[in-house]
Amino acid sequence: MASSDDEIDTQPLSVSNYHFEDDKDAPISFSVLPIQWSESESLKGKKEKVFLHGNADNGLKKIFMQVIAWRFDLSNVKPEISVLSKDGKWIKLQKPRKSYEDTIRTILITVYFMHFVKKNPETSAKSVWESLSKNKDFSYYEVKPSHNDLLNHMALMGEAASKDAVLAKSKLLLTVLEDKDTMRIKKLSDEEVKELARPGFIIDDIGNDEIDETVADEESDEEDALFDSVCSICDNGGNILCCDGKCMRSFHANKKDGEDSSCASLGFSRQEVEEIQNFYCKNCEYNKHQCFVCGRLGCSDKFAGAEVFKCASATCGFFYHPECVTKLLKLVVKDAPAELSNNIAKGEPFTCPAHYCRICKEMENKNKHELHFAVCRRCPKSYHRKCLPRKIAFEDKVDEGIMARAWEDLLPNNRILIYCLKHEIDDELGTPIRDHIKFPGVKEKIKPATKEVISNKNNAKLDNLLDKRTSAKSSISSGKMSSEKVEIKNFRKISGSNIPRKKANDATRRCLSENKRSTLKETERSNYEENQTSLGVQLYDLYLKGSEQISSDNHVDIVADNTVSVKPKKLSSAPPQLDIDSERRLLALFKEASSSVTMENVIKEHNFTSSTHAHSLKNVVEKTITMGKLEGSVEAVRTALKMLDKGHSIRDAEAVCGPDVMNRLFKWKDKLKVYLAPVLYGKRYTSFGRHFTQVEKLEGIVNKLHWYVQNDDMIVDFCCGANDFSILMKKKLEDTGKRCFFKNFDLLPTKNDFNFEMRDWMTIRRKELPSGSRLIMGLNPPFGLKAALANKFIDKALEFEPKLLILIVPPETERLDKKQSPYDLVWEDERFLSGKSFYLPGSVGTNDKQLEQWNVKAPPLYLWSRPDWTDKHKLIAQKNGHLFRQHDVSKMESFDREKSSASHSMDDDYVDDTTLDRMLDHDFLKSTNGEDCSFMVGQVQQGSSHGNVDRDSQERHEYLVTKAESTSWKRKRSDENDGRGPAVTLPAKRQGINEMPEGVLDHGNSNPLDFERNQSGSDMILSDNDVGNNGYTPLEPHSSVGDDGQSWPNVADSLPDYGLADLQEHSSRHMGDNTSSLGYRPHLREDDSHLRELETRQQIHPPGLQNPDPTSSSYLSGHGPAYNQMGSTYSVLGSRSELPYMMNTPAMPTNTPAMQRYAPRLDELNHVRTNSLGPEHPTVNRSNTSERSAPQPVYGNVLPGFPGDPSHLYSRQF
Amino acid sequence: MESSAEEYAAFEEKVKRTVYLDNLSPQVTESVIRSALEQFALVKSVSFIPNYLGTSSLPLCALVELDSAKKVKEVEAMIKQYPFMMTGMPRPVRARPSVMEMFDDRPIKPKRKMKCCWLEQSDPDFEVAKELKNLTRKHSAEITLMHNILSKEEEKLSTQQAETLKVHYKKYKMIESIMTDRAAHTLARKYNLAVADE
Repeated sequence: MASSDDEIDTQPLSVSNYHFEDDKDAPISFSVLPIQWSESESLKGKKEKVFLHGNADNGLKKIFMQVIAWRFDLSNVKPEISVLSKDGKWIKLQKPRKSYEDTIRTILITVYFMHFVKKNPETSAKSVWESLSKNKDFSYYEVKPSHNDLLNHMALMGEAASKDAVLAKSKLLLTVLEDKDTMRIKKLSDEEVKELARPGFIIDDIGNDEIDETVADEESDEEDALFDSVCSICDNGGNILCCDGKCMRSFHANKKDGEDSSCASLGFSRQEVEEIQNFYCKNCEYNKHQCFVCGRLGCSDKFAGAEVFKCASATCGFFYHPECVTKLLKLVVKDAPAELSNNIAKGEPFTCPAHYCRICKEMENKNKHELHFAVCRRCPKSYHRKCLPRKIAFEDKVDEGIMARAWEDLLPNNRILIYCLKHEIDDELGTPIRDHIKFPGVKEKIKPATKEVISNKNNAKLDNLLDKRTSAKSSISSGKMSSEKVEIKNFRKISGSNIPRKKANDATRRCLSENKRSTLKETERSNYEENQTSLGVQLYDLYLKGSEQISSDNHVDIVADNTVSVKPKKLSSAPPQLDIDSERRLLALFKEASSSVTMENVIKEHNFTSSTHAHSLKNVVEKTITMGKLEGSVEAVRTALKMLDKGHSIRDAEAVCGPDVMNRLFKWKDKLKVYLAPVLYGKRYTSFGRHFTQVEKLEGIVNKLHWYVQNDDMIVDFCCGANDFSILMKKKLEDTGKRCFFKNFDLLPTKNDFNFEMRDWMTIRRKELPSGSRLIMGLNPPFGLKAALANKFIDKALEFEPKLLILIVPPETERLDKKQSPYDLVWEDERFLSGKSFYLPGSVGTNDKQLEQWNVKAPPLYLWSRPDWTDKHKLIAQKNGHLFRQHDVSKMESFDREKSSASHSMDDDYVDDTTLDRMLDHDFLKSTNGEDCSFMVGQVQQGSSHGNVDRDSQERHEYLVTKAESTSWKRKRSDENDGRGPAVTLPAKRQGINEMPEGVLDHGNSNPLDFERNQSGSDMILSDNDVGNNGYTPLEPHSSVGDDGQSWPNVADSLPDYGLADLQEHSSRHMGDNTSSLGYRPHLREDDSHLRELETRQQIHPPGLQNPDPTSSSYLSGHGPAYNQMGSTYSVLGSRSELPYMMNTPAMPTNTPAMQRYAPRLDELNHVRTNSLGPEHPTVNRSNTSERSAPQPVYGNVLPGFPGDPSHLYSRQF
Repeated sequence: MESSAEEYAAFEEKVKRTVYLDNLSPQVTESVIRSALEQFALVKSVSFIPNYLGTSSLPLCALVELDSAKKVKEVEAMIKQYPFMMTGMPRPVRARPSVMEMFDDRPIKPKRKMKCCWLEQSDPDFEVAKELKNLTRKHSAEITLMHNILSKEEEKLSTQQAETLKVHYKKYKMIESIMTDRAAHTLARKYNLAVADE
C-alpha cells in the first residue's frame, strides 16, 4: 500500500520499528514465510498473507505492505534478514518494534546463532551463548538466548547447513541438530531458570544439581553481584580470589590473573591457588584491618580490644577507627549524636560514610539511575551519579587536564567505581598509586608499580589510557613507596605480638619502636624475620606453611619432606631397612603416580555428564558463600532488625541490610542445605543415592496394574533399581495368560538382568521403543530436589506417549494433567506408599540392618492414562474396584499403623442408620485422623457398604458378598446414591457423565439388571433432551430412572433433605435448561460469596446443601478428571451432612488449599468454556452458568459404550 | 590332598565369579557388604581375608562371590565410578576381579606335584633361595613404606575435608540461626518480601 513504485530503483530499503501481521492483524513471525535461499529459486510453500508494518528512512516513512518471502545473509558483520515484498523488492529488517520482539525472538536468535557459528566454526556452545547474550540486540530480553530458542527452527538450520559448507562443517551446529532430545531436557531446566529470574519472589532454587552448566554459570555470576568483585589491589576484575574473612575483599591471587592491570597480586602460583581451601587474607587472619580513613592497621577483634570497627552494612567490608569515621560521618549525617564516637567504640553498629552521598547526604538507590552510587576505592567517599563532580570523569579530557577516574560496570549494584579527587591518578597505572593495602606481618607487597606492563582498568577501558611514561612521575611514586615501606616494616615487626595496643596510633614511630623492642624476641622467632628479603618469597613461605595442613596429594614436595622425616621412626619396626636409594626411588614413583592423577582426568574418567549428575554446588558453596560475607550478612540482619525495633526508619535498615541481601541469604541457605545434605541427613545417604520400593509394595502395584495390561504391551521401567518390578509383573501376567515385553533401564547395574539395559533414561530415543499405544511406563524415578528429577523423567517418558504411566512420585511433581499434552488420571493413591515403602540399598544401620525409609510424606502412586485410552482404563479401574480400592489399601495401611479402634467402631456405626451418629463419628475420626479426609471418607464408604466384611480383600467379589447382606447392601446403594446425587446436581458435573457409568458399573456388578435399566434410561433421556449443556443430561437417568425403588426410600428415610434437594435440583435444572428461568437467580446470589471465595461453579442448591457442596465440587474440579472417585466420596460427605454445621468439620480446611491451588487453572478453563459455549447459549443466564461450570477435561472420558453420543459431547466441550 | 578335575573346574568358575574388595574399613561386616552389593548382584558368599601383615589384625580385604562373572565387572565398575558409602561415610574401596591365589582354601591343581625340602648351605640353589627371601623382605618393606605414605596422604586429605566441612557446616548453622529465631523472616516481612516458609 504505502510502497510506491518509484522506490524500486532506490537502494535496498530497510525498515525499522517493524512488525508483521497476518490478515487478521495478529502479530506473526516472518519465519512463517517461505525462505528464499537464492535469488533464482522460485517460491514455494503455502501462501499466508503476511503484512509488514514499519518505518523506513529513519522513521520518515511509514511502511505497510504484503510480503511473500524472507531470507537471511550471514556473510556480513551482522546477520541481515530481509523480506521480499509482493512487488519483488527486498527489504532489510533492522530493529523490530518493541512489542514485537518476543514474537521473533527465536528466529532472530537462530539466525544470529548460525551467523556466529559460521564466523567461528570451531566454537563451543558456551561461547556462542555467551556472545549472543552479550549481543545488544538481545539484551532487552529478560531471558538470555539459549538452546531452547533454536528448538523450533531445527529444520531451518538443517537446511541452512545443507546449503552452506561452512556451517555444515561446524561441529556445534551438528551436535545441536542431533541433540534435540537433550535439548528438550535443557528446556525444562531453563524454564526453571526463568522462574528464578522472576524478580520480587523468593523462589527456591529448583534442582540445583541438575541445572545445566550455563545456568550454573549464570547463577554464580549472580551470586557475586552483591559483593565487591574487583581486585582490591588494582581495582580490576577478572579471575579473583575472594577472602573468606570479614573484609569480603577479592584479590588477584596470581600474577597472571592481574596481568591486564599490572596488578602486583598476592603472588601465589596457580597450583597454590587451587589448593587454597578457605582463603583468609592476612588482615582477616590476624584480625588486623586497616582504617579506611587513615589507612593504619588496627586490631579488629571485638574480643581483644578492637581499635577498628566494621561498617554494619551487609555488603560493606570497611573498617574504621571510631574517631576517623565520626569525623566523616558528621559531614554527611545531620543529627549525628555527640557521643557517636564513643558509641562506635563500644561496638554499636554504624553505617559508614561510604553509604551517604557526599554532596546531598542522601543514600543510594540501586534502582534509580540518577541515584546510583559512585564510590571511591580509596576512601569512604561516595556520590550519586547526579551529584558526581564534573572533574570525576568517565573519560580523559586532555585539554582540561582531566583524567578518567570513573568506570561503570566494574562494581556490583550498579555502582560506579571512582577515585575521588584526593587521589592522584598515576599516568601509567590509570589508578592512583597502589599503596593502599597493608597486610599485617608482611612487608608491603605492592612495589612501585611494575613499569614494564601496560596498565589499565578493564581491557575495554584501556584504549583511552595514556601510555606515556614520565620518569619524573615514577620516581615520585617510588619515592613515596619507599617511605611507605619503612613504615610498614615497623608494622610488620609488631605484628607478631599479641599485646593489644590500646594507644592511638597517631604517634606511630616512637610507639612502634617501643613495641618493637618489647616484641622483638617474638618477632625474631617468627619466620617473617628470616624472609625479609622479598615479599613474594615471604608470602609463598607463609602459604607453604599454611598449605602444609591443607595441601592435597599434588603437593608432593611437602609430602616427600614429611614422609622422609617420618619414615625412620615408622620403618624401624619393619625388619629390613630400606636404603636411601630405594626409598628415593619409591618416592619418585609415588610422585610420578600422584602427579599423573589430575582433576581433569578424574572428571573425564568418571564421566559426570549423565543427565542426572550435571552440576555440583561445590564451587558456589566454597567460593562464593564465604564465611565473611555470610557473617556480615547474618550480623547485618540482626542489626537491621534491632534498628527497626529501636524505631529507625526502614531506609536506615535497608542501608544495613537490603532486601537483596535477604534474598541472597535465603538462597544461600538452600544451597548450603543441598550441599550439606549428606552430612545433615547422615545415614540416609547411600552409595548411590537410590531408594528402592519394597518388594511387597511392588507386588501390590503389580496386582493392580496387571488388569490394564494387554497382550503384546511393553512394560518399561525407566528407573528399575533392583529390577524386581518387571519380574513380578511378568510372573503375574503369565499367571493371567498375557504375554508382554519388558524393558528396564537404570543408570546402575541391577540385581538381575531381566530385560535390563544399563542406560540413562534420558538417552533413550523415540524409535527404540514401540509405539505409545503399546507402552506402559513408569515407576519410581529419583525425585530430586523439589521433584526436579522426577519431572525430568516424566517429561522424557511423555515423549513416548505411552498409553499408561504408573508413577511413584512426590506430590509436588508437576501433575500430568497440567502438561502440554495432558494425561488423565485413572486413579491415585496417597496412602499406598506410606510408612516403610522404600529401602535404601547399600545403607546399613547400626544393627546391620538395611535401612528402611520411613516416609515423612508418602509419595502418591498414580496411574495416568493417555486421553484416548482413558475411557478404557477407567472401565477397567471400575471393574476391578480400583477406584475404591485405593481407599481399601490405604485403610489397611492406616489400620496397621494406628490400630485405632475408633475407626472400627465407626464402621459399625455406619451400618446403623443413624445419621447423627455418623456425623459425630465423622468429626471424631477426623480429629483423630485428621490429615487425610479423602481417606476417611473412603473408609466411610467402604465401611458402610461392607460392614464388617473382610476389609482387606481387594477383589470385586466383595460387592457380591455384601450384596448378600441385604441391609448393608442397601446402605451401600444409598451411599452411592448419596455420592452421586450431589455430584449430579452440581451443574458442573462432567463428573456426572463419569459418575454415571461408574455408578452403572457398580450397580452392574451387583445387579446387572440395574445396569441395563440405567443405560436405557440415559439413552432415552439424552435423545429427547436437546439442551445445550450435556453435562446435565447424563444425570437425568440417574436420578429419575437409575434410582430404583429399592434405594430411594432408603435415602429418603435417612436423608430427607437430600431427597428434597435432589428433586428441587431437577426441577430447577429443567427450567434452567429449557427456559432459562429466573429460578436460578436467587440461588446464584445466595451462593455468590461461596462462588467468589471458593471458585466453585454450582449455582443451584437448596440452601441446606449449599455449604457442603461447594467443597465437594471444588474439590472435584480442582483435581480434575480422575478424581471422580474422590469427588464422589466427598459428595457423600456433602450430601450426608445436609446439616449446615458440617461446614465446621475439619474436612474443610483440608479441602481449601487444594481448591486454592487449582483455582487459577479452573479459571482458565472456564474461559475456554465460555467461548465455546457462547454461541450455543445466547441467554445470559446460561452463559453465566456455564462459566461457573467446572473444567471440562473429563468430557473426554465418556465411555465409548455409553449411549450418550460421546462425539457430540466432545464437539461441544472442546 | 589332591582334588578332582571337576572340583578344580568348579573352583575356577568360582574365582571368575568373585570380586576382591580391598581397603575396607575395619567396621565393615559381611552384612554391610551384602547390602551394599546386593542392589547390583546376588551375593553368594563373603569371606574376609585375614590380615597377617598389617599393624592391626582386622581384615581389610574380602572376597565376595557373586552370581556371575558379568556381575563382577559391573560391581568393579560401580565401585570405581561412585564413592562407595557405608553408613553414610564414603570409603575409597577398591575392587578388582579375584585371582586364584587369593583363596586360601583353594584346591590343588590336579596333576601338580609339589614337594618341600631344606636346602643345605652347600646346595647350589641356596644362594638363589636366600636372594628370593631377601627380595620378599624388601618388597614387604617397600610396601610398608608406601602404605605409610599413603595413609599420611589420606589423613591429610581427611583433615582437610573435615576442615572444609566444618567451615561449611558453620556457615549453615549461622544461617540457620537467623532462620530459626525468625529474625530473617521478620525482617523480610518488614521489607515486604515474599518469603517462602520452610
